Amino acid sequence: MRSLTLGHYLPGNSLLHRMDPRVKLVSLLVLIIALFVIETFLGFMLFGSFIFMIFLSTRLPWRYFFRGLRPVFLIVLITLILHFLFTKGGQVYVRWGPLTVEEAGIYLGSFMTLRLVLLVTTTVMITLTTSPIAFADGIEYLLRPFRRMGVPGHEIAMMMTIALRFIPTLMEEGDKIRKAQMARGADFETGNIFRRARNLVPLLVPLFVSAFRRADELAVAMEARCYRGGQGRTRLRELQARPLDYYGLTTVTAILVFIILTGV
Amino acid sequence: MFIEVKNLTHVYMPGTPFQVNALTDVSLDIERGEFIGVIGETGSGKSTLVQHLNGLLKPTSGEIWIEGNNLWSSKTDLRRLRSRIALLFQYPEHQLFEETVFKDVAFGPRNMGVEGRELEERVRYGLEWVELDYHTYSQRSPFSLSGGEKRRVAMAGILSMYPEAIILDEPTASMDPVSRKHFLARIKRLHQEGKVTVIFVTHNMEDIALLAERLFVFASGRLVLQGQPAEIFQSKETLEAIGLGIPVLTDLMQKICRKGKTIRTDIFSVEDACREIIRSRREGVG
Amino acid sequence: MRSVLLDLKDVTFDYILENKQSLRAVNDLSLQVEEGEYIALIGPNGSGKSTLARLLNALLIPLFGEIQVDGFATRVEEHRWEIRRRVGMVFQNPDNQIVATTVQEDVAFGLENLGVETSEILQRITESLNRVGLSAYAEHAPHLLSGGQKQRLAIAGVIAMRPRCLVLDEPTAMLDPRGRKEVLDTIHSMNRQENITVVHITHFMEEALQADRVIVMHRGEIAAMGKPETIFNGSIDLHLLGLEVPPIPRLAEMLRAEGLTIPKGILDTDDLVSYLCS
Repeated sequence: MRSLTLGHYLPGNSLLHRMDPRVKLVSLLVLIIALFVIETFLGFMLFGSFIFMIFLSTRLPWRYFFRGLRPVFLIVLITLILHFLFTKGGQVYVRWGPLTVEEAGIYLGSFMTLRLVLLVTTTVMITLTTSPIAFADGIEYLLRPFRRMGVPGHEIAMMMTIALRFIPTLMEEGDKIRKAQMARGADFETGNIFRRARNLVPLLVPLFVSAFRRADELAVAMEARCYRGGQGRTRLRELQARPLDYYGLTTVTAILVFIILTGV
Repeated sequence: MFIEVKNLTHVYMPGTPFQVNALTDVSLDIERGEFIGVIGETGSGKSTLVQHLNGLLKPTSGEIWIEGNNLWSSKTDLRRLRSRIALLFQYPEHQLFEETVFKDVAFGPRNMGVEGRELEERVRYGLEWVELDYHTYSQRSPFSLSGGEKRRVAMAGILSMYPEAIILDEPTASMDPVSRKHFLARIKRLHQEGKVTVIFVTHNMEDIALLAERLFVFASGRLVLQGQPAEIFQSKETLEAIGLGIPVLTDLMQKICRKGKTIRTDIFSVEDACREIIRSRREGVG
Repeated sequence: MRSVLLDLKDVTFDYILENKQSLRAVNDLSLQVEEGEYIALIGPNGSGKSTLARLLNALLIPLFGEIQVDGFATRVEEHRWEIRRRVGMVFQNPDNQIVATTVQEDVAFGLENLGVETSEILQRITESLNRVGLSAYAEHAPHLLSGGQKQRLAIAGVIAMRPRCLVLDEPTAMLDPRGRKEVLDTIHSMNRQENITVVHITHFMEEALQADRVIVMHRGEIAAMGKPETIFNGSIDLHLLGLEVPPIPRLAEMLRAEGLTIPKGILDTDDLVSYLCS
């Protein structure tokens, strides 16, 4: 369990690593919009090449890349199969009893799948090169203008940081509770899905209770260190946009504009 | 022979950057009815060791034999084993989850298939041993109890399984001195009257000095010393080097001895120390 | 003549329980703590020591009575932040005080809250980590630290704020011997070298032996107060107060009962050995 790289982040020194997290978050948004505007396979090819080049610049090992895709692999496969089998239109390629695989199905299936893969790939690249703290900082900054509308940007960022800090701790505790209950004969393995869900109670209840207790104690400790929300807080590291960031943002915006104008 | 550990090695997350060699080539025996102390600082491997004794962890290499049966070669009923060799983790109050104390103490035996009349008897038995009145406590929510009471409920939950052996992983952690004294007295009674084999894991020398018959000392995943407490505490420097110490009174007697007085050093209680010091002065040997 | 840093007058505090009943935790307590003192606060469970600790930095406000920290009253809401920068607090559970994802960021937390300039934050962090011996771990994730290291991190996070006083609520209860020693050494050096006032709550009697003054609490009141030699020399029945006497003073007392004349100030092993072997 401990081998989970927090948020898939891998430290490094590439261009993408050094980019300001705010710019990365905004760029991600822009690129995702671009993906949904693209209408042709050619568009995906161009987009894909761009992403590929960026990926090469990060000098990250391939296997982390694929590991990032693993969670969505199932969804991608299901999307593909559903479209192949149930989307009708155009020439029929395969007939197998009541099921048919038709041209539209293949086209749409491939199209949707490719979009999904590129979406996940782009996101993974950002998460691989951005530390959780940087993420939280970026989000806090970007949400600041919305404070007037009641969006608690600082608090959200604080919650993210604390959650990230406690994930390994809670996982260790969960493991300990699991073993403690197994030592009393609890069984977390056998049984159907309903049985197993019920058997999780001796694990989840103590874990939740413990998490609440921790939160309580942590809140007191934070207050003791003069925490009172986001007002008047300074930061250890101030986010600073540099030329690199402006180029990046410009490039990405240009891509979106290009895609819209050419209708690719 | 009750429990035998043969060349046990355990590695966490082998082959990853997070690899930890928790135990390396550990061999030891435990006889039925013994009171064993497993001592070492945090990270020495003592917790990892005891989790092998009831099958919670599987050796990376090496064997665990319980009453002449290799734990992992045959089709051992691990759940049944865990009711015979019961393990109480550190801060056991954090494992309570049921709506009532009764239900929580009954959890262990219920998992063994016990129900009805016998189940109630076992819960009474468990609560009696930890000195919690059945009528006062059995219908209360475990979450409404004090920390000390919760810990006793957790202990009762182990005893209700009628174990032949109990493994206690740092049971006195964070306990205030008075509660500690009561707890140790209860464990002593359990060992002597209840004839339970006790394996007491701790880094607190004062806890096991008076109670343990034999000690296993761990450092960096290896068994570095074993023997009776009096022998083990002769090696003060070794123990200090691995993050442990010796009981205060034993240290005192050793220091007096080093100054040339003829005096016993296998002393762990204030009463014994007093007696021995008076005796030594009376005999006037310098 | 040292100045008074913490001034408590007739302080009473009640907890309100779920059934709306009140539980008196501190009863009409008065106390003055001088700058630079090392105070050990001992007492059985429920004696009010943790409550008292939390009253000192305005985490709790007394029902009756007044508490002044360096002239600031805890009752005044606007003063609370001034009070908390002067009285830093370290808690029992090492994990549940650490907020950030790296050691450095966590030490920065308090400074960020105080609005310290970014340029100064890094410098203070380096200082604090040096002070507690954790400089090599600045970029580490906290869950990789040992218990003793986590507590030292908590201490670093507090001293970076440059408090005048450090209140520690059973800081070593969850640590192994090595961790305990690390933390105790750190606390003592803060007190001796930087003249930081220390209020150390503990149930380990041995830790109280090192203090300038020992305060024994019982049922919300101060039952006894004085130098360690006075408190542990047998003149006070600690047993009646729900406490255990540490082994060496207890042994000294037993030997006295057997006719040996052992000086009343004997508290530690080496002193007793010297006396018995002279």
